[in-house]
Amino acid sequence: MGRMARQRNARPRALGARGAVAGLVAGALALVLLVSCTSDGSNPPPPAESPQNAALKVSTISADQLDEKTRNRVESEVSDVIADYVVGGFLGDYPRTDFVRGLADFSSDLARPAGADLDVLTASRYAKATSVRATRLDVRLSFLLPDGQDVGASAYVDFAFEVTQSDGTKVPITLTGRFSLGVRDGEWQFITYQVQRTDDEGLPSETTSEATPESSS
Amino acid sequence: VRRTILIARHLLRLLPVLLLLVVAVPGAAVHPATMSLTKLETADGYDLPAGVVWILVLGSDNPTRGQEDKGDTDAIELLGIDVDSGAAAAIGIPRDTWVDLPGGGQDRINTVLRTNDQQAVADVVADLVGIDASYVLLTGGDGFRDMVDTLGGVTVDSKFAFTTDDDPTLHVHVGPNTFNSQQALDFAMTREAFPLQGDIVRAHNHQALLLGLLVQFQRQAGKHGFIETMGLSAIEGLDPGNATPLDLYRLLNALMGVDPDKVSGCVVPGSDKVIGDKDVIIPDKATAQRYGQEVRDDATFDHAC
Repeated sequence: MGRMARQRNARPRALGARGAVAGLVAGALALVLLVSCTSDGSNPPPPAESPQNAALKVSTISADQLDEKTRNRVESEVSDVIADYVVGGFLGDYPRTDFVRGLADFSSDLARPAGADLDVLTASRYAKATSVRATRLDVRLSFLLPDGQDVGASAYVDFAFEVTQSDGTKVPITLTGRFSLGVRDGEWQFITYQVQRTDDEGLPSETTSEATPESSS
Repeated sequence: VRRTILIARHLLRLLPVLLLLVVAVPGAAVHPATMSLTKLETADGYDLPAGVVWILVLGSDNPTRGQEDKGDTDAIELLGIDVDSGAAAAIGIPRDTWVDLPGGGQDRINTVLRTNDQQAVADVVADLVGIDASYVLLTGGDGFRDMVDTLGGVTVDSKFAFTTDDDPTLHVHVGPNTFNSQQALDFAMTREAFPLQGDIVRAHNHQALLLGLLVQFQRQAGKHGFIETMGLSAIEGLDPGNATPLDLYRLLNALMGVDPDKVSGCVVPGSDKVIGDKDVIIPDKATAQRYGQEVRDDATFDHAC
């Protein structure tokens, strides 16, 4: 089971459940999402459980151009959507097969290519793993709020996870790049992704090195 | 002792060689090692329906923000984007193209905005090339300059060498030309410099300018927060017609899915004619329809213009 704390450079407050998806996540996975607040970006004290998922750390580009109340609100709303994506796409109880749940907040037109890219956007290729743990969840947000109207945001993500496979081997994976989100009917949803994914599959082996100049060049 | 010192001195002289051998030549032995296999993948997706999304871009000769629809449309470009393939196509329509008006009668297409509205221009274009635009975006000189300023200028690959109509000091060369916003506008407006069918040449220049703007946008979009800055500039600089601010933001994002190497454009050809006191272009409707048929489903021209 995963547990993910969320850390923002903002006043601390409890997160409300975000509709059916958040309810499903909270209920089925007994996942606790926390917002902790620091003004200096330092990590909160580690909780008792181990291993612990990394906190979702969120900061905003050109934050001084937004009043604090607005910034707190939009940061919180967008962070909720991103947290749901991370939980649905990567965390939770393994083995699992329901990775498409991570796309619940993708717009209908975006869900079409996202479904084809499910292996990049989620941990679906590790369906038989023992666990997946978030080791880094950093997000920088940039908002488009003309005349105070919520229109869109870019989320520059720097995510890292550690997959523990059934044979005990661990696979570090990263997901970096940009998502954009837009507001439809008052709800933030993903409308773009441009991401890079790495899966570092270490292969323990024994090799013989020949003492020849050619092999050492 | 002396022999020992000599041996030590000899060894010291050999030390660099020994170090080189130790560092450079591995021993012949079995070494446990971990080979690392890193799989690197990229993916992108955009909030557009499958197929080609068509956008009619209009440039008004009324530069004042908010008054663009009171002017004539000097630039008329129908743009198609297919983010699945990365292809994009532009069909340019010269402003003097003689068309049937929505309410009856005939006139140059550039008058339709002033006498009707953006949708009427889209209807006329649809009648000419057979493609309905999903969005109509209108800008004037002020909005255009602001957007180019936000982009930090633009580099345009010109097919033609000429001096612009409004700035005799601005000499455009064949090949890449780097413009500030006013120079880009002068480039876009010039037609008197071309003795033959200047209106058609200008439409080709509009397509070269649009491609330059696309490349510049994609280059700048690597900066965190730039797409939102550009989005704000577009919202302020465009009369979006039926498009919402979110639509503009979606379209801006979708531009990241266009491959500049897969962008192509044609201009509806025609023959010069004088009707009354007006110099007009009688469009080659068959060719206009062929262009539309070729690009409708994949934003790619099957044949040369």
